[in-house]
Amino acid sequence: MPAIEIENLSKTYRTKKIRIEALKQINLRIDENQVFGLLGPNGAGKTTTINILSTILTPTSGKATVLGFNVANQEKEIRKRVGVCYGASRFYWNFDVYENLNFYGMLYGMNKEKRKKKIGELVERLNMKSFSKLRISDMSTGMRQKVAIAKSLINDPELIFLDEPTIGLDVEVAREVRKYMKELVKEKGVTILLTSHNMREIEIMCENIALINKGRIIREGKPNEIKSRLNFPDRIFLRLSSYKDLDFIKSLAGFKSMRLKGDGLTADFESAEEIISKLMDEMKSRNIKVLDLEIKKADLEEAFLKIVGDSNV
Amino acid sequence: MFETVMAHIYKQYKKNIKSPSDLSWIVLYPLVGLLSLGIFALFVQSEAQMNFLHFVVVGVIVWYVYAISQKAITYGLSYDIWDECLRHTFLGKSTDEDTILGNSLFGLITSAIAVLILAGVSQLLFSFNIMIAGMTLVVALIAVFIFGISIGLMINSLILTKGYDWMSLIWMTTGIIMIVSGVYYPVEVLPNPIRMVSYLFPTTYSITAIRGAAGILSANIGLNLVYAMVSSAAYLLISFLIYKKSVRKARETGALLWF
Repeated sequence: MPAIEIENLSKTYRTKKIRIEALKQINLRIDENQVFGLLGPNGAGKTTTINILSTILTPTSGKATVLGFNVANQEKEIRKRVGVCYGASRFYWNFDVYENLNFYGMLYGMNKEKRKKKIGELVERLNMKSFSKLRISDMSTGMRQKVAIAKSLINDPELIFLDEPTIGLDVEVAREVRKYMKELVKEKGVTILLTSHNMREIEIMCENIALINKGRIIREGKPNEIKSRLNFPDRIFLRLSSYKDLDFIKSLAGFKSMRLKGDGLTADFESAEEIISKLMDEMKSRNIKVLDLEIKKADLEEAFLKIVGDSNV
Repeated sequence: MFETVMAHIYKQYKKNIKSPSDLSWIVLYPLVGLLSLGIFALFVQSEAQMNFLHFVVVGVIVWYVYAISQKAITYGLSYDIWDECLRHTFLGKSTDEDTILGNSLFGLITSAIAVLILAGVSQLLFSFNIMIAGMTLVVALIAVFIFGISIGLMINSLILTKGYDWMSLIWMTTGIIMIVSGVYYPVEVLPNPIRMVSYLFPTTYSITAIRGAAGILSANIGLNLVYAMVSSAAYLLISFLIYKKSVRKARETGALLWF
């Protein structure tokens, strides 16, 4: 059973003066027990999709099921099984961590004992002990975001929607949160739908992704497949003791192009990993010393910009 | 269901004990109202044809029961709007009925506390025991409480469908109820069109019934109680349906995500 199944889902916001089509007949299937990334520029429809799937927003047309339940008429079943974390979330400003989480635990119908145990576990796991007695208004953005993540996990959800979850977190804490999320998928079998502007994060976290732009899904698949379908080369930068007799490079497998630029040589290949040892051996046999070497893999950001650029045309 | 209802009581309790301004609604404001108007009534008493002091004390107590119960419902939503965390409440397992019940129970507890304080103070300072109204007092105040909850739900419905600007109704309606329900004067002195409006509100009948039962004026107590209860029940039913519809509408328009 897929964790999420979306068929021709549309959402149009209407006021007296304007009409905005936030989602235009999107189709998507997300299997259980994975981190799935939804990537797109601002206003693409990522948050609208999450809001519909978490039942806080109703669709205009189409169908969506979450964990086998229909968002249109089985909202209660969905709500008790999912957790939602928004970036830059706000909470009761004069409550501390415990009071906020206690309230949300009660909203999910958890009894006192269960709440106490779960809050203690989350405070420990997300390293919130040092500020657990602070009021929300006295916390830094990073601390508040940790509360948002804890709140999304309070009900032991089977499916978690993370909308820009590491926004405002410092590098170390963001890494820690990502690690925890991956552990949840591995150990507890949860499914995560992640949206992020941070393409590195999507690349690290997600097994599958969908690119969304102007309310439409424009590409779907594994991050590597999406990159390779676009034919982006891996780039090797070399600083050498000599730049003579380098034509042998053109005969290496997957060669695309090369040029001398600034203080070095830049060569593009389909896959740097496949030729790098051969390249080094050839250099050595020709008595050319490699003074500096840098490999830049084709990244999702480039792919994303290319695809979004194309879809805007 | 117990925990999801208790969640709303927990939130209100925590918010109130942390905020002197909110706590004042339950203790300080009713006392200020009772003392200022009670002392004023004491001053003009000699000129009045009836026991004006007792007349006003009944009005003040009823009005605060209305204000506190309405506040329990409207502030239940407002806390989420002011703290910009409304979406989290609607993402939980708690239903609309849980929300209404939880906030109403908090309103019931706090208005009962206010009544007890005001009854004690009026006995102590003005030698007036409102408890002599007996069961009439209980039934009439229940009708007022239900009316306060109903108006609160209607205000919340407007906020959810029309937006933040309608929040001023929270404070405006309490003033309107005070003017038209005969809190400080008999409704008979009101200009004719306003007097007609006053008969639409259960508070008018409840106040009259309690004044009658306390021997302040002659009134058909039973009839006033029936009017008060029936009209309150009608308000509650209508406001509940409107509220349910407005939450559905808010999920359509995305209003739950505005705050």
